[in-house]
Amino acid sequence: MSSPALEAVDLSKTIASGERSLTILDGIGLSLNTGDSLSIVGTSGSGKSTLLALLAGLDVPTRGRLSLLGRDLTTLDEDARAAWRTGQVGFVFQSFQLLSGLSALDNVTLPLELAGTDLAEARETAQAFLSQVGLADRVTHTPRQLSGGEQQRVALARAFACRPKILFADEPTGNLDGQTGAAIIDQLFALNAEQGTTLVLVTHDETLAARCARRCRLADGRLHED
Amino acid sequence: MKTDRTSAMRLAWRQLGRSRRDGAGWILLIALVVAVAAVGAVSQMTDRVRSAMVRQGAATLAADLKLDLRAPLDDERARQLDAAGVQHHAVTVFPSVVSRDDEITLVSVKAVEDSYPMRGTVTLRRGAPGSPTEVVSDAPDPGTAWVAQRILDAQQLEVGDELALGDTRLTIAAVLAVEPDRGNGFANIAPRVLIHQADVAATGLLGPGSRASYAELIAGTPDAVSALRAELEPELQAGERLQTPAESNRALSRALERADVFLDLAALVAVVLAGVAIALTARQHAESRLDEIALLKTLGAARGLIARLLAWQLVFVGVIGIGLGLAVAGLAQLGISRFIARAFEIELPGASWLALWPAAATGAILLAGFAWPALSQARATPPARVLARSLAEHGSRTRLIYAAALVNVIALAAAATRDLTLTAWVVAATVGGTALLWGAALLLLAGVERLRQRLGHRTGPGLRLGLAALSRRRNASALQIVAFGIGLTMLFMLVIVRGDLLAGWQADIAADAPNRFLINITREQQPQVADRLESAGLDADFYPLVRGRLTAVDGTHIEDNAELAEQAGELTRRELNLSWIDDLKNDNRIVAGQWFEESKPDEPKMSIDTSVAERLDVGVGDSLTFDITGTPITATVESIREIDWSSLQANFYVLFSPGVLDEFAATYITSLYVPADAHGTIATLVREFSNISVIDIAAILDQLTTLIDRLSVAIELVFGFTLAAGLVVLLAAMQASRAERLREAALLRALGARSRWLRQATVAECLLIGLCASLMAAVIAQTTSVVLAVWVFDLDYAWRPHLWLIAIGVATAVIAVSGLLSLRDVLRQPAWASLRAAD
Repeated sequence: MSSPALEAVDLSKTIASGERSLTILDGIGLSLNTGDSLSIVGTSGSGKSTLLALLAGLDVPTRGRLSLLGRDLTTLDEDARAAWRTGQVGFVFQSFQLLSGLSALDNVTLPLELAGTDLAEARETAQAFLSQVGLADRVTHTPRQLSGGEQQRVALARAFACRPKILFADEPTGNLDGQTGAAIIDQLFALNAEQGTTLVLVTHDETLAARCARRCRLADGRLHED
Repeated sequence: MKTDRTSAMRLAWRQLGRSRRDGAGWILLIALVVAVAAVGAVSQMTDRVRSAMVRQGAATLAADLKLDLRAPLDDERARQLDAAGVQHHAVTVFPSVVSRDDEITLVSVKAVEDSYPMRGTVTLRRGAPGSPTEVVSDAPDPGTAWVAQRILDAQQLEVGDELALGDTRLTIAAVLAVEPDRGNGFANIAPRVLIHQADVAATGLLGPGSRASYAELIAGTPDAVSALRAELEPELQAGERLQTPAESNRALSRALERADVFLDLAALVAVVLAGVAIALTARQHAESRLDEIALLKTLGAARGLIARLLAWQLVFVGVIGIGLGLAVAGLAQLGISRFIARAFEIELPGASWLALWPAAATGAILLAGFAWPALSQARATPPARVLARSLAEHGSRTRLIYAAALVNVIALAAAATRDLTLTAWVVAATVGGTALLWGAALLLLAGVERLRQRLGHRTGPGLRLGLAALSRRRNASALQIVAFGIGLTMLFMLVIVRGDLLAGWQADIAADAPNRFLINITREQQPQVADRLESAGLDADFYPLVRGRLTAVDGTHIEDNAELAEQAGELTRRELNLSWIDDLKNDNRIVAGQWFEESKPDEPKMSIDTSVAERLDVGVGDSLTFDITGTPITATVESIREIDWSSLQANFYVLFSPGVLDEFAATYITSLYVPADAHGTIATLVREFSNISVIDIAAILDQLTTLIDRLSVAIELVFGFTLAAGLVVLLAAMQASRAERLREAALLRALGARSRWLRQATVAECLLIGLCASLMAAVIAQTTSVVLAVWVFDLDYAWRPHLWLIAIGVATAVIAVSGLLSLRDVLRQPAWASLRAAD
């Protein structure tokens, strides 16, 4: 049996708040197989973003161990974690997080370049993914020239262009209207199915959460599987 | 690794091409352009004004360098001068007499070659006194002479007559009205006869034992002249000396020195202002990069790659900014060269782009020293920032950044001025001022918070919003007060010092500055002369004068000690004018010891000039011995004085305590201002007391006035440029908080705030920041200026309350208006559009 795509054991995060310390996450345990899709729901301030940051290796836990795609991330420093993420982990954010100075094409090319792909090849791939999300004629536009939905589609193209093994999505429709959001989610799940990517999705939208195979709820720093 | 490096550079380049909307990047670029242009233009301008001043000064020596010799130039030295690539020609000066019908006049003959004067001009008059003069750059033709009016008067001669000089007769071709290298010492008292070297032999006056002095006038490029000077100096024999224009005319040299220091100060201020501008924008630029850095980390970029990316971005900004800055400085330089050539009526060598390298280096150092530390810190941004900024708190080591910045400013300032004292004062003022400003800012903000709580809702919403904004942006407001404060301190300081400098010069060339010296007045004649002058309404102070030769220092006879003799140089080769006075004169300042307390003739004391003390290496308590008409007189040094030679008053290197020199026959000297309508009084006086000589220094005064007029214009020009740079810095500082101000204003407007309230809030906030910064800046600048005036410029300072009011008013108004201007966008468009734009 292959090792799980994601395995968290006793993950905790405590931060200093003035003179007291505040425990945001307390003994989180989670295991996710390759190709699984998991949604994490919770109210605002329940620690969803903190958990996502820990699961994706963007932040380090105060306690506990995290293994992602068979690699123990808690033993790596930030640079090593960044290098390890290259080409394996994809992200979609609520606020899109596109580089304002770069065109849509350059934004999608960027992670491929960072993964060491030849520039011409990277551009070709980026172009193909932008076409797939319906932005073939907007490749030279900068984020400011695109609508919110278009920006999120560029972000989707960027996330999937690297063919990541695992994708983390943080409130991907949070900044979009219902119709646009639904279209984006359809595209996200279609690409996910096509590439067989493991998906971790953080949202407060129960309908969206229901589209994932597994659902967890974060409350009082603990994770409860539905 | 290669892939990493090229992709960092490529990515940086790609982003640069598309970062037209990156506000912070633009501000950094503009600040850099302004910094490089200001430093480039000011340093170029100071260099060119300085060369112009040196050339102007050279006119007072008729050359760039004068080599005094004991004998005519020998072949070896001639070859040495030729090899140095300079032009040179011989000048011979010797005393003689001219006589007609038993009327004998002692004259000083000066023989020059065709190329005289090598610098400056000679003013001649062909007709009677009062007729027009002409300015020439020639020497008299062989067979002719140019003579002083006094000789014509005494000998009853006119232009066109013949002058008997030794064995030859020369035609008087013109009256010598102004001789550029006459100097202002009253040693050169005999009236001048200027002749051509070709006629010297024919006079038969230069036989063995004649008292001629020989010199070589030298002119060439500044580099060639300074190289030659360095080469000649160590080889000088006893009785030889090198004179630069500054050394030959002390009044002019003081003016030049002060102008020089002011130009240094202006360059230094430009550097500090540039530093403040870059420091302000670098922080903002770094902050605007945080999201990008976090995202790149999320996408897998390691710190090394991010460092290279940021470094490349900075390199591109640097290349563009420095390039544009140099272009602006170059254009300014062209204009400046033309202006200086016109103002100083001289031709300067063409502008050189190469000379702008210090400005380019300044730009690079400012970027490396200010922008890089800030950006480098931004590298530590955790990737989790992409999810929520609250997850990405990281400590900013601001103190470290500013400490690095300070070190850079000190290094740049020292390099710009090469004057450590001046740099130390200005840096001390900057550091102390920053601390004071920071303290004042915190106090003000605490006061604002209290006031806000106490006022509650009793004030209008505008003021309430303004006060709230100040409290809310506490750190940003404090930083802004400090930045404005430093910029304004520098500008105010320059304004005040400039005022002191110009006022000092105006005092030097006051309308009633002395224009005549009367010398050789006997003790018996002194009361009568004083009466005559007083009844003619002329003010005159008389000083006794006894001539003596320095023979021993602390009991060591100079003639027995070759080392001491060489050290004493000129001081032992001629007799010095010794005098005594009861009270210290206004243009003298005691720098060591104390003024004579009471007169005790049996305990001889003396007060000496700083130059004598330095040359002889003596201090208070040492003793000097003078030989006065064969009698040795030894006195202890009681004080050391610094003399302001620019006063053009009679002054003495050595003053004895009153009573000590009473037994010796003294003559009296006075300097006085003689208005045009009182010339008759002086003429009558000289006819009655034929032994009295009159020295007319009006020509020297004219030279000084002209030079100071031109220096003043140059100073204003340099000042104007620095002022413009300062204004841009102020605007950059205002721009630093623009985005936040806009976002808040848009939000408040969306929440229902009226335009009037927003305007009032902005004005209240900006006025408080502006007032606090400019008031503190005025206090710090005034204090520093007093210190600079006393210790660096040696000037009288004046408190100028009106200057304070104007400076504070203008600065506060500029800050408030630029705050209002930044609000314009928000007020013009609907709230939702402003909010979107600010997002």
